Amino acid sequence: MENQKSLSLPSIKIPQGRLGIWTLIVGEFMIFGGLIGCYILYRLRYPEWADQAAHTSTLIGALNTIVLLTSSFTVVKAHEAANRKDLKKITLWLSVSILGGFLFLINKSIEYSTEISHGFTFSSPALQADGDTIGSLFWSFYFLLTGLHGAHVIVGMILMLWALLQARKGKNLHRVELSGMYWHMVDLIWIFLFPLLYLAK
Amino acid sequence: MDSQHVAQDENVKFPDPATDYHGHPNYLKILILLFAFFAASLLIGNFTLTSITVAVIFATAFYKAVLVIKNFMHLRYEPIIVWIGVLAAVFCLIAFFFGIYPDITATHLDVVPR
Repeated sequence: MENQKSLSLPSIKIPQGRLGIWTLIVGEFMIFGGLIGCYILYRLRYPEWADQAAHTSTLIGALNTIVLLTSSFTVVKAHEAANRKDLKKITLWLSVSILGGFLFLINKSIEYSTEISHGFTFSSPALQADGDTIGSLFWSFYFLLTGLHGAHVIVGMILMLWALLQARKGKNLHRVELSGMYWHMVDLIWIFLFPLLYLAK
Repeated sequence: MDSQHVAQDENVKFPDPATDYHGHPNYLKILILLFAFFAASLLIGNFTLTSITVAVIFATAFYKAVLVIKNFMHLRYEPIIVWIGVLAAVFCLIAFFFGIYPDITATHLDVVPR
């Protein structure tokens, strides 16, 4: 009981782990929110970005949305299983969630390879050679936003794998929820990236 | 050093997930709602985009985000301090957006040379 007390902050009645992950999530909101805000303003400033956005694959973006929404569901099911201390179900649901992360990355790499093969890169030299620096700027934003988000997907998968390995031994089951909260944050960012980059063409 | 950490890890009693302080909403219902709004935004996105359709798409995205943050991330069960933190971040982002708005959109000076 004493040990448990030392892990929570009595004045605000929240376990330190949850407070820590919320602090991290709020920080991530600021990073992605700032980038997304700048993207929206540049999009308003340069309506011709719509010509570049037409090259992104709505099908792959939609598939990735389905994958992330579903994996968010499987993560909360793992959390529910952790509350029941059902180690088999935790393993099952977290494995499905990690698989979802892999599927997302496979889809993303297919999309990236198509775009890069068409000459759209972080700096898009072909567009710049044609004098289309505005179009090139779109792809800089696109690769920055989706690349940073992809890096967060990888971190989320590592965190879930870590939680899974510990949960299989029956240890630190609360980390199932904490890694899951990070995964939901990854899903939350994609909810805004999908309409911005794939729908508003 | 490592062995000390392991020992400490084993001695410390972490909050028990079984006695977690928050409940669990109907996650399947939330997932179905998320898919329904996603399908709606996909459908609207296939129409000719006007400012109204774009507004509807982003309103849908915002509502989906609220569903995820309140139910999957369990914000609805969190103490006021967490709500204050999240709302402060949202306020800062809105202030940032309108703060840089004239710098990017309302200036005749091109940030990127045409």
